[in-house]
Amino acid sequence: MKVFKPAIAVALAIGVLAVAAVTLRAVRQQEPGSKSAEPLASAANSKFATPADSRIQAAQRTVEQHPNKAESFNLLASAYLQKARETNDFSFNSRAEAALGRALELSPDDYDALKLHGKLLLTYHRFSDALELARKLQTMRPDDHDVYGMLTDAQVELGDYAGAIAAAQKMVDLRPDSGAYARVSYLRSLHGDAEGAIQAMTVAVKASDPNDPEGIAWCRVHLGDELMNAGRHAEGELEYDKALLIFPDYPLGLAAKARARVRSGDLQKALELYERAQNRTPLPDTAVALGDLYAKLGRTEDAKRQYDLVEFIERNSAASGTYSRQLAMLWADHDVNLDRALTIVQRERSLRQDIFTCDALAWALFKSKRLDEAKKSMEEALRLGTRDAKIFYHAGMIYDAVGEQAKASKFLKLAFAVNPTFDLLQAEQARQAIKAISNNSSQKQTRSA
Amino acid sequence: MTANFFSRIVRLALGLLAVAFFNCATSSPAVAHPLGNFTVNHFTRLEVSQSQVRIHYVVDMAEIPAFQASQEMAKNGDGSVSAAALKLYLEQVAPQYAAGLLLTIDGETIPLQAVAQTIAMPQGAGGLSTLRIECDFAGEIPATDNGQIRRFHLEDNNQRERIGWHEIVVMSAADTKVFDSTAFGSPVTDELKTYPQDMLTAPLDERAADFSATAGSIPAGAIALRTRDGRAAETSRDRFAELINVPVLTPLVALLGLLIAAGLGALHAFSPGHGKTVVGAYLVGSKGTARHAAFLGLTVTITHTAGVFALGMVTLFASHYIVPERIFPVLSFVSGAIVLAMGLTLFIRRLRGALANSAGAHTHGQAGIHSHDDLSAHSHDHSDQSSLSHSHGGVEHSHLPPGADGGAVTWRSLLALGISGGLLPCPSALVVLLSAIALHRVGYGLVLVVAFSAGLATTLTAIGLMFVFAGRFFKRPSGESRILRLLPAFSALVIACVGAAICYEALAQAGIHLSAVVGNWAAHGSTAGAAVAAAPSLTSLGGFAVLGLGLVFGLKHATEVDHVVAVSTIVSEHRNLFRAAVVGGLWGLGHTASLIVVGVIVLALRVAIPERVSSWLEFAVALMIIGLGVAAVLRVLRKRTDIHVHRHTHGSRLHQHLHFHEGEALLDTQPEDRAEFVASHSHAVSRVGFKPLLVGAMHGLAGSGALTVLVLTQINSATLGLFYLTVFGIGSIFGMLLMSFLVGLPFVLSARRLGGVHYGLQTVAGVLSIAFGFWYAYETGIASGLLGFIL
Amino acid sequence: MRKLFTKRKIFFALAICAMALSLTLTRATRESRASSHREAPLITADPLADNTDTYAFRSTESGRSGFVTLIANWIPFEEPSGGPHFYKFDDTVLYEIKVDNTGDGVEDVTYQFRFTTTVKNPDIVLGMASPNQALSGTGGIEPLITSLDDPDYNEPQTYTVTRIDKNTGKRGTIIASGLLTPPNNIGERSTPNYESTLAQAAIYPLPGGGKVFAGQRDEGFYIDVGGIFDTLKLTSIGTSGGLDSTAGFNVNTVAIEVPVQSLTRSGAVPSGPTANDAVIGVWATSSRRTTTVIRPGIGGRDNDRNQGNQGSFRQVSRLGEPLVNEVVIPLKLKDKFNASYPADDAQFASYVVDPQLAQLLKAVYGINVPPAPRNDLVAIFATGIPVNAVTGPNYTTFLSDGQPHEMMRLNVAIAPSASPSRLGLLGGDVAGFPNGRRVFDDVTDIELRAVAGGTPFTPATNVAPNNTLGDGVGNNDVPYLTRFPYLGVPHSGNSTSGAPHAHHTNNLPALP
Repeated sequence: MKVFKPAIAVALAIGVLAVAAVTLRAVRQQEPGSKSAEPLASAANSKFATPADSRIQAAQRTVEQHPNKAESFNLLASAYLQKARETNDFSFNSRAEAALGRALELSPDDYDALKLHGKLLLTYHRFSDALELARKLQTMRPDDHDVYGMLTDAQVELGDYAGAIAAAQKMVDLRPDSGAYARVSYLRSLHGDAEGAIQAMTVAVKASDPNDPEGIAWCRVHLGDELMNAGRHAEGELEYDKALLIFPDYPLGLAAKARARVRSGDLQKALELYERAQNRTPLPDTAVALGDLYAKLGRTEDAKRQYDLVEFIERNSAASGTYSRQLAMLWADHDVNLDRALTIVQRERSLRQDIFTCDALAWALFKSKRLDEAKKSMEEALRLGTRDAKIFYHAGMIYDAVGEQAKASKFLKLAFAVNPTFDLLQAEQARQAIKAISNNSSQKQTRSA
Repeated sequence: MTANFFSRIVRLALGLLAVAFFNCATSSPAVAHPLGNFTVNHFTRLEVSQSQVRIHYVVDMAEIPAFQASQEMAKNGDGSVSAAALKLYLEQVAPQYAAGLLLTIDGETIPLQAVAQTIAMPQGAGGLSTLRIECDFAGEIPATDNGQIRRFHLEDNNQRERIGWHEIVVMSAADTKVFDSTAFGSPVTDELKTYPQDMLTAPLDERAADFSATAGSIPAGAIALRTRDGRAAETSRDRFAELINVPVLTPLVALLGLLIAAGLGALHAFSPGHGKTVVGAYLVGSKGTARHAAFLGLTVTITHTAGVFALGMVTLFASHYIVPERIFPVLSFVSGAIVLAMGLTLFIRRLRGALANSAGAHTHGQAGIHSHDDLSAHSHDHSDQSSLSHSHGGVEHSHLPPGADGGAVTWRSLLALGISGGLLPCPSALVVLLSAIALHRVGYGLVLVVAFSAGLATTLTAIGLMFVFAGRFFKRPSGESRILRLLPAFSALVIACVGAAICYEALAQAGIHLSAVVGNWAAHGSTAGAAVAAAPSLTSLGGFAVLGLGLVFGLKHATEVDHVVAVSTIVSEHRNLFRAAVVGGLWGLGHTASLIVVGVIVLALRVAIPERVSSWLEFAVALMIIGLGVAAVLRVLRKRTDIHVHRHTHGSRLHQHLHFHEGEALLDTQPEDRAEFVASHSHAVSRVGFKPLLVGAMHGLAGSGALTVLVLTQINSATLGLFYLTVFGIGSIFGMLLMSFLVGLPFVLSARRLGGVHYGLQTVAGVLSIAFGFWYAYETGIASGLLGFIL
Repeated sequence: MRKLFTKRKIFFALAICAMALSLTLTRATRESRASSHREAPLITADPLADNTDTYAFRSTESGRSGFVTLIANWIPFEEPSGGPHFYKFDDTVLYEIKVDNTGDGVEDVTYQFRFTTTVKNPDIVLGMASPNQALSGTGGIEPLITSLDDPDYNEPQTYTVTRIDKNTGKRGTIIASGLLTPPNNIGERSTPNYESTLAQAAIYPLPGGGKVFAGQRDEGFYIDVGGIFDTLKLTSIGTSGGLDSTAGFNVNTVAIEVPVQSLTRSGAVPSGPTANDAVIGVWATSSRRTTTVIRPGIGGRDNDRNQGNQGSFRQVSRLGEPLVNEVVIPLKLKDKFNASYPADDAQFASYVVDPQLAQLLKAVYGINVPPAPRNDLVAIFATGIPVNAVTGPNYTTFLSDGQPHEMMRLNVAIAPSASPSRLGLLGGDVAGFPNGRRVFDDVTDIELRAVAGGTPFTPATNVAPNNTLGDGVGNNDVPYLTRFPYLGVPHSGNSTSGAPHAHHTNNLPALP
């Protein structure tokens, strides 16, 4: 035993000394190695990075320095949310969620963390939860304009338009900024005020953060949509181009540009754009559009593959559930799985009353020959006077089916007025419907004569 | 009572099985690729030598892209994704990938030839397939005068627009040095088979790499190639694999190679999961003989060699259908399962033996005392058996005293043991075989592998022999203490636990779950890391699972080489199993204490322990082990001199006296004394001293580096983290208690038999720990580049 | 009892296996759901309306001694290589510089700047600069913008300057209009000889002898932001060794130079530093128009698309004294502070009387700080420094009606210093901060010391390190100009000659 003590003591002493020395070094200066290697690495890849990446890197450095601060993780979360917007890579939402989880664990009612969490809830289509959270946040800080944005979004999606308008008004009064104007624009658009929507979104574009290309691109794409809807095609498409110039390969922009090309009959270019978009992130919306395009060009095999993709994603991917409406509409348009389509939209309708869900329900009911309910639901879809070609088309077909010819032709014509290429395949049926209506109305005339 | 005892086991087992299923059932049905099922992930590994650049390129498509690809294949092929369609698709994309990889040297583009390519559609979870394509490309480097510096640029332009993980790793052959590299020298994802679970860190996005390479020395001021944790990337990443790549093969080189191979094999056996504990534990409870040990070694060698060959063949011919790496976890699971099964059966049998014996111990004790000669005792047992033999072989053992019973080595279990030890082929052995074939040195390759396996076996055999050797001196005095009677059961339990742990890790590697972390820490050879890092994902399972796993890892953790070595030196000085065990327990206490203290700090303040600090701590441990070894040897030398004096005076009765001198020979004292001791053994701490505590604390500190992982992989609650640590600690206390108990045996027993042997063992322990200490110091200090600034 | 013990161990062994199994079989996937609904950016920054700095000082350019220069900056951290989206003022924002000369916290003189962007070639996606001449065949492509009226200056921005004098009517009078802003310093190809041919050309004379400039400049504020906002984890607490976090960035600047008497209460040049009209208070604001979400008479025929919003202006940003909003006002009140007026600053007084920063300094550096109430700080930030023993009878920046009003106070009767110190008053330079603020004043160091009590006003704590604190950055990365508009040449977005701009540089040797 006696002999051991010194040996042990020496050994431990060495150990302790080593630790002390190193800890000091670690405290005093940054470690060599990974840290110093980092800038090199990022430099080589910078040309592939999106703007969010630098924010993510910065945030992660902050997290390393302050692993016990909620703020650090809020930074990280918002950076990931931006990355998700830029790439449509939804796995980044999960990362944001993880970061927020940590932030909220560190300080359970951290205001900013909760706010970001609300953003996440909206992204996950959990609108009621988002609304609830927004109300809670309101009690914490009554004057935060961001929260009114959250309220607006949630209520719009749930179909409480009066509430949404009130919230948006408060938002724009508290701090009129790009986000506020974007929401004003959408509400105006929903209420059929195309010109007003354009004006608001124009301001939103001007006011958007120059350091956030995705934000600018987003505003420009939606400004383009409004312009298109108002029949100002050239200006609209120019906005899409500007969006893609500021943010190349922007999925929203590619799809929008493709729509514009379709509208000008340049199907080849449209095809190219849609395929580019699908190669980046295969999304059901794009898949449907691309599928229709293939079908139009007679490439039924390719079309089928896109439609299958929609079903595959909705069924099997983690995004499952989010695209149920797209799938239902796809089925309805192609007269397949009508029962399941109807169940899907009915379920969704039980959760939200927004006009698009009402429209979807009406269309599904129409396809399964439940015309009166279809008409009733369609009237709800039309309640705001929204200028939406698809809704008008559906309305036309439904009114035609219930024998209200006048309304039918009015809505069908409106559909073409808003967007002659609102749907590559359905448009054909719409034309025939119009022809049919005018025919038998002329027949009536001849009989009466 | 035994009957209802079994039924209880069964019921418990069923219950737990139910739990297991419940856990699967409740897990989310919407499964996804770890990086999200839209992703297409790319991995590129460059190997730069003077003559050529070899690129290993892996593309891992998540469910949705895989679905799109399969649509493609269906279009090309006969409508369904047949093997033919797969092959066709592969032949399409491989050249595309080659074209998409832009490699330039000093601005001049180097064309890449496809060397080999494989495609597989592994079932992602939830029955959805993912798509995995692996290609090997090679590009010739224009010859230049030696020592010239070349600047490389690599760019992965394949599916640029596709979101996903992009990883680039640069490695250099022995003849080349890489520096000023924008890429790192170490991978993250094990070729896209495991992805980090930590949701906080962004997916890697390395799509381009620039670096310089030269045959000469790195110019001043240049930064040598680094691993991701900032250490110097070692040029030779696999010493064993290096052996096959020697430029010219002279007989001398070959001989040397064989020796080294054997040596590496021997070392390799020390890496976790080779059942050294199992061997020891098994043989300790049994009457193993040298013959058994040798047979064991043979089985291991054969199994391992065979395993390597088999896997080699699979890799060569069947890789279109199986991704070979996926076999590893399966194999290790099988070996784990074997061990587990064996452990449990042994345990139950021996426990029953022990219990049954408590009644008839006395008489058998007499019998034991009479038979002084092992061999005679041995045969005596056997004769007993034959006389008592019933139709069911194993059961009859329960009629016999524990030492003579279930212990008795059955060749069947020996075989199982050997297989489990050798079943898991060492990857580098596989590499050697494959590159041997590539280099048309198949013969040499085979010999190397055999040598390696032999080395592996030697270690295991040696351990076995040590216990056998100890067992020789093992004589059970009358009414042997309960501990000793339950000893075989304990050892069987250790076997079972180790088996469980191996199974667990195998499963962990099979699933994406956890495996990243386990992988990282396996690299550090630290199960603690894996264990601690495992904690976060445990939160989903709740406290009970945490408890269970904490224990398993604790037990397993206790069997880490550096721990065992350190403890054995201390144990070696004790002649008493209680104290031996107490030493282990104290070690565990110290270990746990420091772990928890650091744990509290880390979790409370959420400070991260810098990588370097923990590696320094490991280095310190190495030093400590050396210290312990030296001390042990010193002590032996001192004692030996004493003994000489005694020898001269007392002759043959010397060791008896010796015992009385030291007052440690409890086993030879009268029953009442023993009773008194049992009553007073709580004082053992003071007798054993605080050394084990300190040593344990030191180990704990070193292991605490792993706690950083705990913090970084957002474990969801600090309390659970601590709870987990505590359980882990308790596990390690138990584990080390058992270990030191086992390790203690040879010393205790030899102590009673013959001083010379005893001190021999002590010296061996001392020397071993010195040797190990130095090796460990090298690994943690020099190899890891920790002391780079000194050297 | 020992038997029981061993049985439990078996149970554990089994439990362990089952758990190991169940664990690896369980797949907790974190993959989130996609989003297909229309998501506007929720939490938006509004840099275009974000005040970064305000400066006010007696002109130091030779022959301009009778003038005061007021400078306000907007749009923080402009990345010089910002293309294709460039940094312009926002046509929809009302930019203002306000002057209070009575001490009630209400502006008496206001200069408003309204911007209008015209697009010469609307059919091209390229922004600020576009080879219009080359396209229309009327000229070559190299170099692009050689003058402010170059046809290739595709999106020139013009602005009007309106002066409002409280006494002469609310609407005010337009004193200049149609003034051009120079393009961003895009690079040597697009904007050759930037300073001489474009920036200097954008300095316009004002009636009454003043000057005005609006356009991109180098960010003249130097600070180790990381250090200051990272809980004061300063790389250095001296005058050097810090990281200049604002290095390599540009800002958008509005600089206006006006005669002293146009700002004073009396409308005349003050008789001396202690005259009751000698001190003015300056701050800058930006405001955006609100709007009615659903416009009366939907589809209202309003074809001026730049006037998308007809509502009244809402102030969204304000800045007087440097760093007040950043380090004095607590996070949760920043929006509120930005929307508030100096007249109502009583509501924020408590944060000045007992600032968190002081407590932080105390905690981080373990130094003694003066106890609350910090009347010394109230004087600097909210009321101005009255005549006192320390600074002597000829120094005051006091301007208050007894209420706290946070604004930049300048004694226009104190002449510029012949030997200026970046530490202003603490450096014995009465013409510097907190008497107004010159472009080179090291407000970070000064305020750190002031808050730590390292000033003559608090003798007890006027000791090291309190009075030697700093962020280790003592100079700007780009030299200041000795003439209007004083702020340095903006970093080029694409510099083919000389080093490219670098962020977070180690700073130059500290200024005197």
